[in-house]
Amino acid sequence: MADEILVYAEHQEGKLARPAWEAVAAAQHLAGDFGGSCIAAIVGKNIGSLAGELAGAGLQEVLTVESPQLAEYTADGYSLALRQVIEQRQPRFVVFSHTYQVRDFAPRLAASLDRALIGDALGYRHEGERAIFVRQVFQGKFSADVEFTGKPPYFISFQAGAFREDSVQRGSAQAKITAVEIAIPAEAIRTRPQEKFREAKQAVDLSQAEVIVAVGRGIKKPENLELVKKLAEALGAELGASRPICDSGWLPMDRQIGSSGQTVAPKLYVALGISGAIQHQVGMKGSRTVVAVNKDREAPIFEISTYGIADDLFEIVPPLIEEIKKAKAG
Amino acid sequence: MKIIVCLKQVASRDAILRVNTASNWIQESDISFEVNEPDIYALEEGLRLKEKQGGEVVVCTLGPARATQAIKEALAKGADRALHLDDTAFANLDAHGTAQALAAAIRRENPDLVLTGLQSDDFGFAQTGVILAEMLGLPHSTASKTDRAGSGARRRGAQAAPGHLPRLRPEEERTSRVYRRQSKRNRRAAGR
Repeated sequence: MADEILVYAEHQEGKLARPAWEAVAAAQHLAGDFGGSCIAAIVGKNIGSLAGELAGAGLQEVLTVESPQLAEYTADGYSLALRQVIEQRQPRFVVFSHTYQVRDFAPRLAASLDRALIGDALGYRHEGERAIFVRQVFQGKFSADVEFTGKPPYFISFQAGAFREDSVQRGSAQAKITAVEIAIPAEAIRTRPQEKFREAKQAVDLSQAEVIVAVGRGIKKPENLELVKKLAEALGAELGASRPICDSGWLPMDRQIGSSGQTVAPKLYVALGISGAIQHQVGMKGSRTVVAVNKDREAPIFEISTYGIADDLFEIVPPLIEEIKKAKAG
Repeated sequence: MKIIVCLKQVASRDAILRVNTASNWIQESDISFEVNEPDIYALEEGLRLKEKQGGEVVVCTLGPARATQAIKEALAKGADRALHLDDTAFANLDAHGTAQALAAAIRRENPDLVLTGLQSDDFGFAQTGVILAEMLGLPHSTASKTDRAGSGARRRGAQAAPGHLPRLRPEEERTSRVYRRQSKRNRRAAGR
């Protein structure tokens, strides 16, 4: 069974969410290029109905991995459970979506089997028998081709949006559902999840905004946000941000745009000092007009911008504010 | 309490980066380097813990000779000691290899807590800390933020089961080619 492709089907709050289907799509894509059959593993407790839902996709088999120790997610429990599944099935590829949960346990799982994980891949190329994965380095400034040099199983996680949920092939019949025998001793779980929380209630709904001024790492210092706020005010725009800005606490989390924030589609989107990594793009590519200002003329944001200014935002924005004020007054 | 802080030196965020002639990494001559920003957060957290509970903060850095600058900065900020892992075999290791080298050094120190940044600004694996935990046989918690007043969100809370201190908090592949993402405009200009 060395040619099996194992998909990790993540569920969140009792549902199979987009990452699960995107991982299925990625695995089906790999199977199309390299052969082999796709199987999916779902981990937890009382996951029968989710397995049934998964069995409708074009999969060979759905594996349920259940234990009372897996009722709540822990990195220890999930990596130990999946390790046993992988040892039993010996798949060629193990495919994940690059979510927070996967970031938390997949490196540990791969390392426990003395394997590497190629994480956060944008996609791959198929050259003969070789799979060449592409991932971003230097914060999206460059891409890198990465290959596995050792033996399978090959662990790979794909970035959100790398494969589309709606490209999942449906099966003509329900896949077989198999319960996998695993053993998880209680003492193997060394952490205890605490109460879940979401820091920011969605106080600001950017999805309805007509004009958004969004700011990224190019702003350099929190004090410089004043300049951006002035531009937003002049344009009557809502303020948005890329993830590093919210992670640093410079703007509240509910201003974040992208795969881990809000998805927006304004008439005008002004991106200041945002490189435009794919995680950001998935949240704003539906914007009608995109104006981007970035010092780095190779920044990916320029690929999707209607108007691009490859210059220092601190030079561009102040006169822009003046001109907008003048135009509005006149 | 003995705290290890893993700290990496990376190209400065402001540096103008170019791909090297072998097309497998950036050209490292003529650019400036700095401490990887997420690792500074790890160091600051380690120093705060030391201030509160006493003990020792030991910085562990894997990198070439230039990384001594990063180590000096960490010592200047208040770290007590540093381990510098420097070998030509360490150039451009993947996360698995880096974690292996770090684990070998850290095991000997027998620390109470290991702190790492979430990810590096260059490779951006966001894996080394998690793999390190596995190799050291320790539990971990990722993307942690401590509960200080006004410190903002924790993305996930994990608490050690009784008897276990969660000792790691992070943060066989080969990179064959590094290149600029080509925009559609550039491709057109190049006649492709």
